[in-house]
Amino acid sequence: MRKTIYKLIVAASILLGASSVFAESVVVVHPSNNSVFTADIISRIFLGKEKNFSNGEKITAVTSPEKGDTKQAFNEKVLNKSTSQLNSYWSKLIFTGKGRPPKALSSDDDVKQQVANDASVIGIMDAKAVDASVKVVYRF
Amino acid sequence: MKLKYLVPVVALCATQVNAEVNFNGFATIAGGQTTGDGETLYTYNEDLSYDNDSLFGLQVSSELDDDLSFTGQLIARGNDNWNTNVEWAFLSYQASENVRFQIGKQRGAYYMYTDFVDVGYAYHWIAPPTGVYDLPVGTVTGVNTIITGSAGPVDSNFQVLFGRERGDTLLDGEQRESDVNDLILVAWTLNYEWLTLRASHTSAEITLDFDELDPLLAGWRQTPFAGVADALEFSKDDATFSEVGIKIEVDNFQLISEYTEFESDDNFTGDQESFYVSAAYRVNDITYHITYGEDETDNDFSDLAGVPGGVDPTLDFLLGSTNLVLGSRLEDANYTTVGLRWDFNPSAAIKFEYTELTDEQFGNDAGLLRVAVSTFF
Repeated sequence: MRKTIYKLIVAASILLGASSVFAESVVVVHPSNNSVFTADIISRIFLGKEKNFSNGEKITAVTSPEKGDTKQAFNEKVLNKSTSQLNSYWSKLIFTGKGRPPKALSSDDDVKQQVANDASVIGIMDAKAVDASVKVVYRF
Repeated sequence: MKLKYLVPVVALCATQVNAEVNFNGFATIAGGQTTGDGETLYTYNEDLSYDNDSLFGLQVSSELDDDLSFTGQLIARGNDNWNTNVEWAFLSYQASENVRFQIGKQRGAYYMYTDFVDVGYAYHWIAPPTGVYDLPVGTVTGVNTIITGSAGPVDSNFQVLFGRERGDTLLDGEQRESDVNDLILVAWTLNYEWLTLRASHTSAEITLDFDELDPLLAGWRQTPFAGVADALEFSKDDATFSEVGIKIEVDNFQLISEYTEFESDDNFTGDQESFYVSAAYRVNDITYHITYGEDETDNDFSDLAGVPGGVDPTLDFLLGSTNLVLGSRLEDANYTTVGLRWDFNPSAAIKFEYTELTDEQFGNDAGLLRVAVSTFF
């Protein structure tokens, strides 16, 4: 019986550990931002192809840390690019002065704060850190 | 030429205390050698050399405000004894959502890959096909107007660059003094999901310094046929360059092709036509690719038609030498390159390539083996 309990605990902790792999991430904007957001538009924004929101406001895109799960999931699921492909894409733009990748901030809280304080900012972050100061426009 | 471009950089940085300054860099270290005794190809020979395709670049850029930014780039090249040159130094002004001006020293979009041709990390080859990418114009100083727009899923990028440049130009693997005036480059790129189409047209007045021709030119100028010297000399000659390109990207597959024409009638270099077709397929971190290309150069011997042969030994000598010079420019070659790129790190790739060239004109067939590591940071 005791063995079974241990086994259950082990199994549960593995499941809990695994669940972080499937953690949900979100794209957030300022609550006042009523622009149109689709997967395609979001992808264009984070690839620097879209410079203004549909409400006319200029875009500043920020992301969670470069090596974090959220950023990696965003690259794969929303941008459909590997890190190498994405680096190759940005190297063309950086070294011709045409654009720079969205700034990677140091934490989800930083992303939330910048988005909450500035109507021009759009960011990606872990869904768990979301509160009423930001508006979720896309989940991945 | 080198330091004067840095002054505005420093001045701009100093006035905008709050502006964020970004530093980025890239490097390619490449080695290669031809596979047979006495073979030469793209300035490589049978001795292993690390200079021809090796380079590194450092970039400083700063957003002065939302619409104004500065970009400066220093590049040191192995084939120029690692001398460091300022190759980019321009101010960029975003006048509206769709219109941007770039003012200063910059590289024009002559080909699909020219504006980032030094950033090996950005493409699958060690260097884009040399037969096509050999226009004797590098960076120019001027004003580039870039108009972008989109209609549904189609993105358009239209640019017009007016510029000039006096400096060194790399031609046939050698640095030559050049003077490019009245350059007008018009380039248009259309992109629809998996399809990219582009075309460019450039015209300019070019002077290229070929010291080794001077004795021949001086010789002709002492005869009644001085016009021949003018027809040979690469001095203030109108030149045009045209390009069309296509790129298809579907999942892990890429197909790229470019066709180019260079015409410069009033000198000894001749008119060149080139094209290549390249296919690349990516499996995880490895990209396999194959490229086939052809280069053809015709030359105009008609200026020699009025010169009588067998009358005067000096004239005969000049005729013979001139025929040799014009003939040496002829080109009829095709080549195949196979290679692979392995992205062993998110910001570095190693590349292996083998090129086999068949020279239908002179029979100087050659094989070339190259390896390179490209990185950016």
